[in-house]
Amino acid sequence: MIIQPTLRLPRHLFRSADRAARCFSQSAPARAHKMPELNHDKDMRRDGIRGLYSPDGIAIAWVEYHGMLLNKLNFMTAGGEEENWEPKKLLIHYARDPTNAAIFNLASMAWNNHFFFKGIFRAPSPKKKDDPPPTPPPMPTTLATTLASEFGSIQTLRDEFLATANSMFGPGFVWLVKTKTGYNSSFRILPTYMAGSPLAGAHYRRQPVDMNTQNGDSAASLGLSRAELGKMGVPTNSVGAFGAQSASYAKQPKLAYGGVDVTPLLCVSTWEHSWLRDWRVGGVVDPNDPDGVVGPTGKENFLAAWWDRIDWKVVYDLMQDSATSRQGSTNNDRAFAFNRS
Amino acid sequence: MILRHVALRHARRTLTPQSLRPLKRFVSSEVESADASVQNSLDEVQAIAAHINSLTAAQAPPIDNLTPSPAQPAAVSAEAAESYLLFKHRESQFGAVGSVVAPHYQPHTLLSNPPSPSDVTLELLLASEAHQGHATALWNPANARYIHGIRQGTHIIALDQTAAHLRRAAKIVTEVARRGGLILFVGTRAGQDRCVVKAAQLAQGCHLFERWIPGSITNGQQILGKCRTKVVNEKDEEVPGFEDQLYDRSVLKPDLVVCLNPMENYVLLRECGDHSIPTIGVIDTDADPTWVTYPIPANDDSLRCIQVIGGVLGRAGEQGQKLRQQAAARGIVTYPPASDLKPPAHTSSVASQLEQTIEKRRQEAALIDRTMSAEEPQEVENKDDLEDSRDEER
Repeated sequence: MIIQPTLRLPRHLFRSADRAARCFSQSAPARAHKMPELNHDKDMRRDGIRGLYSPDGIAIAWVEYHGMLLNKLNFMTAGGEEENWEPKKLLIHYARDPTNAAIFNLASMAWNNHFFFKGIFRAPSPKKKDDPPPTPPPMPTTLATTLASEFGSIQTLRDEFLATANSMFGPGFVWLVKTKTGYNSSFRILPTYMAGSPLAGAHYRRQPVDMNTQNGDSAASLGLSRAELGKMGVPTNSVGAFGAQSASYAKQPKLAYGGVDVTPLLCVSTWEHSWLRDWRVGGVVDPNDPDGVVGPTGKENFLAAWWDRIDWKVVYDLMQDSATSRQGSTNNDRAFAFNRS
Repeated sequence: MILRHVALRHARRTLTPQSLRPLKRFVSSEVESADASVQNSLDEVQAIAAHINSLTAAQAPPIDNLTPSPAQPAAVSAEAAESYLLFKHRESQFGAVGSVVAPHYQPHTLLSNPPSPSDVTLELLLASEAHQGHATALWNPANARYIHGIRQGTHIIALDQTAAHLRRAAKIVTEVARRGGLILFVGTRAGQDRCVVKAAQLAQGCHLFERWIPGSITNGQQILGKCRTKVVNEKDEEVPGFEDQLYDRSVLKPDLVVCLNPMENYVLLRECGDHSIPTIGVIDTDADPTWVTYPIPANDDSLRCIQVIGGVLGRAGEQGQKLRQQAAARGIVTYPPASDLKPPAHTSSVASQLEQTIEKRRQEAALIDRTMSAEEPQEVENKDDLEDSRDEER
């Protein structure tokens, strides 16, 4: 039996003051969340991304889908305190709250989707149709040597990354993250399922089940008592805390159990709406092949094409902090703690 | 303890020592672009840290024996500066991902980055609820010219009047500051303290957020007589050698008073009127506009409105100070120097001057001691008389 979640009512219906405030503007209410502007946005919407997306594919994966996410997010947060919160703040705030799983999902998906599209290389469309499509510049040498030393070679990194993405059966994202700064830095490949987030503040949501289809009782059946669900939030136990430092420590955002402070650098979306329109399903069997080997799936082809269109400069800029680039820098914990809140 | 530098020009007293001039780069609330923060190299980080440390080292000494010296703040390390830049970089890279949040009202920005006179628009005043007046039965008919109409039994203040009067007041504040005047910002209601302090900081004036002590102007010598005064040149640098002349000098009075709640400060405004000190005040529909020289018709019950008005006048004072300092840098003094201050006799021998002053004090103290001891009965002389009298009695 599927327990349907209670219908999420928009908050502004309970606030007459909000309605009174809206009497000034008879047209559509002001949207807090607007579509982010990608570089060469107009060219991308008109011509797609050559080799990866057609214009219709961009319309589905970016324009319509991201627009839908922001529309729903505006609808659900309008009139409330979190009306003007950015998606990162929303997703971390609601990461432990199963009753607001919808807002978490929308905010996290918006964050992940924008991050994915930011990492794809775009250039102005060639003026003449016969001109070759712009190719992304090669990886910066510093980044190439760092990644090669970490993973053995860039080819190994590619194989590892795409294998992880291909083996994910359902929708999600695969991330390349950096875990520590300084000489002992480590890159990791991290998959997240559905709308899971790599940010440290959201690590309470390991996402073993889809909380969108749960309510308090069903979540309790997973092993969380009602009392625990009700207390979800920043730990408030201050037993044994004393001294000048403990007050400031209590205010700091805590790291979740099992959470890791990571800096996401790159991601790919394995959600089907991202690639199904242009790459289709694939996985056909060649009738002449006696072994019946299954051909590459549309997802595999998409991932291979995506790897060639990564904008490595974006990755390099995200990695290249003044602290992280220096050997022996001790600015590790405080710097990473930005993603905890 | 809030420390602020107030310079003596022609008739003013210093109340507190100079505060650290904060490095604008770190306390400005203007957001740096992502490119700017990314391009900051480690050398620049070192330069920033060195600059902060140099400011920290040049701390003003305590003004007198009574004021405790402020605690020296810890020197900013290069690592702290680096950590801050890293935080800013991360914020730009990861904070704004997902959507573009439309500009919206953030209450703290009225204090951290107040609007300037050029930012005053009717929309801003409307959003700050400056138009909300009191019930019609409570009005002061002298405010009729500022009222737009009535809605739901309350008066609505005409915002074009508010804007015009606010701009006029801002010009006055700017010009007073440009001419080296001392501006006092007063706001004694709950919650107005931060706004008043910020405005005074910007205009390099004085603030008051507790109760006005009656007589601080009319009986100033008694109430403020213990405050130290100092003489500064046009570049706001203290000029030593005037201690003798300052000892006999009268207390300072403000040259302009900005009052954010005139309804509770009648005594202050009355004293200012008695001493010909111009006043600017936020006048609600039930307030008396004749209490102040330059009324600003607005809602004094809304903290947001008060913060906007206080912020605008603070920024106006900041502009005036900037103009004065620019003129001083060019060698132009925008105010007449104090006519009754004579240049010190030997400016080179400050030590001898100090010795003379100390000697003078010692002589005065000795004179006082002698006077007090002369009043006591002198036992040696009277003892024989007493004995004689007792003998007589016997």
